[in-house]
Amino acid sequence: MIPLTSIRRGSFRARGALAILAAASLLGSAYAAPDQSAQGAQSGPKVAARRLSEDQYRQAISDIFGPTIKVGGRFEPEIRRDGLLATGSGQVSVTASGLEQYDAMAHDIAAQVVSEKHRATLLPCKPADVKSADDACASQFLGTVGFLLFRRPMTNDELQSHTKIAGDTARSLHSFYDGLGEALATLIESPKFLFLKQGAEPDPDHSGQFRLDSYGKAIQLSLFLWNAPPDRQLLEAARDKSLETDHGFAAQVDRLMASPRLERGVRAFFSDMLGFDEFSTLSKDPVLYPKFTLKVVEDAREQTLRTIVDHLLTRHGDYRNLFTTPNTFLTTRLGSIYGVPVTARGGWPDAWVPYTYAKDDPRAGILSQISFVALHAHPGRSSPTLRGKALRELVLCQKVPVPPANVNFTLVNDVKNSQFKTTRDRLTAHRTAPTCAGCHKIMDPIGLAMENFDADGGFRTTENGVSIDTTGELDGMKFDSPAGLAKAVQSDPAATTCVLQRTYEYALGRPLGKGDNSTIKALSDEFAASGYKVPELLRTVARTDALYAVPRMDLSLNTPGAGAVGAAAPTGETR
Amino acid sequence: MTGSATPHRMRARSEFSSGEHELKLKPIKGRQLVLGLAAVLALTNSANAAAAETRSFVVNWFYLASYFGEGDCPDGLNPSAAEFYRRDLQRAGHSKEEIDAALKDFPGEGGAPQPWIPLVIVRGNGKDNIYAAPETAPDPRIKLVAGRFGYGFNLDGLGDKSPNSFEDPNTHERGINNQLYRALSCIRGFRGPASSGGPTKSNLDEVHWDKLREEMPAFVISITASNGFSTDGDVSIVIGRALETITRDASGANVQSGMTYTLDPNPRTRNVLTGHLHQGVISAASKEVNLLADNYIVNAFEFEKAHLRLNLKPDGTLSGMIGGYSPWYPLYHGMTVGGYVEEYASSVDLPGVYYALKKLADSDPDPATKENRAISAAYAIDAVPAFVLELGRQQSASLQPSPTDPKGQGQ
Repeated sequence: MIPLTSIRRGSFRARGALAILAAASLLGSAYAAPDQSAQGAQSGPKVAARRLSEDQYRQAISDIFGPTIKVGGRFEPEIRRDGLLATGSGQVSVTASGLEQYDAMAHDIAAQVVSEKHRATLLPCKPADVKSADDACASQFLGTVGFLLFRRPMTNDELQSHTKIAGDTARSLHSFYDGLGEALATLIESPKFLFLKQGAEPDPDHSGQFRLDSYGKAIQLSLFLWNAPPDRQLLEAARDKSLETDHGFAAQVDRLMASPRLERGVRAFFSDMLGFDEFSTLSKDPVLYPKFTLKVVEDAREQTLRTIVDHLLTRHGDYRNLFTTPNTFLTTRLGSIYGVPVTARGGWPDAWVPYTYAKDDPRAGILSQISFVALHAHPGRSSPTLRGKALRELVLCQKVPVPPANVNFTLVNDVKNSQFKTTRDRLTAHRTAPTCAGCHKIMDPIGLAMENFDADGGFRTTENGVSIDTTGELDGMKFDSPAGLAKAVQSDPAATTCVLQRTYEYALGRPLGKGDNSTIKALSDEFAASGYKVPELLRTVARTDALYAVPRMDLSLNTPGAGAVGAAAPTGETR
Repeated sequence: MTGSATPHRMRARSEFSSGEHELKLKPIKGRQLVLGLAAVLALTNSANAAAAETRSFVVNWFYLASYFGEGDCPDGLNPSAAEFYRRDLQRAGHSKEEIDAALKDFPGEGGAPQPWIPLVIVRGNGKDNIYAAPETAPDPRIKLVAGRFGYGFNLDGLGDKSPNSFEDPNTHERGINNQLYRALSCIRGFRGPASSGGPTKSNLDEVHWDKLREEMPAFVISITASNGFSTDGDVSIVIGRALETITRDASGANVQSGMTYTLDPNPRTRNVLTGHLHQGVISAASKEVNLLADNYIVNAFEFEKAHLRLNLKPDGTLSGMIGGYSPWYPLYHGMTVGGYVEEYASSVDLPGVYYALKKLADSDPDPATKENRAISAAYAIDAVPAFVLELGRQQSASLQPSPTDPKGQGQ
């Protein structure tokens, strides 16, 4: 551990290199070997380490210290693997610049927590003298928050070393709170917080096999249903081993399912599944699409998430009808693009108003929303190919091959071509090239049915003065409008299989393997029996033993990037 | 809130009759939005209600209808602020040394000393604020527009016999009354690029309106053509203020189209006019039109003997003019809010403007003094499609496909 006694007063918020060295030291030790001195913590090997996403980090800080603690800074980019960011989170580490950011954020957060504004409510004790060290008070506080930050009780060594940091710094700076802040910052920038490490233990029900230990199970459950690290109640259930009992486990699943935080988890899952991280780079040519402001981008994402939550959770609707539901929510800005009047009380532009499309309206379901048709289009023109690809990959979980490197897009991009006036015309000509035809025929017939939707999501019937033909086909199902496509997706078994697969992968934190087939089959049957109700699916997945099983091979992995757990249970049984 | 597809069928209870009209609105043309506006629809003949069509707009730009072209200011433009300040301070008895010292490094922006400010504020009699008491200074006789052309309306009905009137540079209609333009448009700040095909906004008008539209509720217009917009016939127009402010589009320069506004029911700012549609041009007149604006720059735009002429453009937007006789002192007062800033930044000699407006006022004589209190004026209007709803009668409709396609990409 780097001695911190030489740190000057008031400088702990931005101590840059020194703190980074300290954090790097922590990183190195964290992955060198399993924790050996845990008191009540996991005693088995670490089998998985997923890096906290930005949302999870923010939520953790908010849950532990309250929403008034601000989190500022840049987070490490997340990586999408096999269709999900969640499955990429076990494949990433922290870069040097990322470590700097985590260090700065940790010190900023710690400074807020120990500030005069917050210390009275967030700290359980007061020091005997604010100008000197108080190991008892520091230890009490660090042990309490360390339990929540590390998702397990701190070991004696950990608590002592962090208490020592608090004491050394306090003596050096003549400030108990500066010392405590420094110690807290080292907790927050620790890989034990930044990485959701899960430990394993022998599975008493399956001789020779392993399963997640109680704390690992709590992490698995909480990440899946709440997109957040476990709260104190769940961690306490892990500590007192009640999570190991059928009754105790079921009670926690019920609690998490009944919590308002489930909505946050559902939002996170569908944001991941639908690729909403692409919103961060979404923009349109302001000359061609003057209505497409940054606020519209924000609203578009929120519109679809509201539609999903309303349909799946509030109305308890059939997942398949998400593609045809006439119910949604609009702001005045979205109304301007969709071409419908939206008034909110007081003219508040950010207000959300429930909206129901008429039966014969061409727009219904989430595929007709800006979050799909604009997100999967070019800045200056629509794209049947991108839309078809997105629908195949995101909604139906089908892989579309990567285009060859030498494709000539000149004709496709020539939106003013006098001979090929519509996108359909241009794509038809483009597909005459044999190297292009193979892939385009699985994307374009889908996307062409959405050509009524311009690149910003607005409705149109002509392109360059020519009527738009919206006939299309999805795996043999023919249609002639966006609504027809929506109905085809609604009735496509691949759509329900896909959301099931993604849900399970999201919960596991890794893509499916061959050993998961039996579990998927069992889940699929239950999903169908429920009438394709997503809350039932979430509950079933959460209670699937396989979600907490550990593949034998993972026992040798003990570093970041080890991926996630969840081996196929022999029967895919649930409890 | 529910939506419906074309053709829209909206049910609106008339304020003016006991009947209930079921209205079938035609599909949109151009990039225009069609929606019901109950009060406006109620003005239409119930027998023709089925063919009625309503288009609504939010005002994007609103500015003094000016013509900038050859011969408009034959004696040149009015002096710059540095020049008229020196002139006035000289006349007020300050020595050359005092004036040189005061105007050294004029205007001295960005935190630099501005010793000229306390002098010019009282440059009339040395003690009273000249903007509040412009009579404390003599009339500097600012240069006025003296050209042949100008935009506006034949307000006095005298046609080419109207004294001091202009000729419309495009239609060549004579007898155009726009003394406000005559008073202001040889001032440097009130100049703009050469006119081409219609009124041109001056630099100051652009700045003023851009600020004004940001701060005040939007101006909205809703037009109902009793026989639809493809046929000549009677129209009714509601022009007023909304409860909501404008939303800017992605460029930041223009108002976003397609947004929804609610009409302010306050009769002080809600005006209903009847008019006529002829070959895409709407003409209407009314005893008065009042549009409440914002206290900071212009409290209200008021027009007596109001005239309105609006063109429905192929791209779905609206352009035109509104004119009438406007009380001139509130217009002057609005400019004095900026005081010396307005003067030095835009070379507006405010006492000169005061005297010009007073001199050119051409309507509403004061019974006691016989001096006119209103001045002929015309403002250009550019508006974009919007939904405009009556308060408490919020309705919905779905945007219909656009048969015309300005950018070749639809929508």
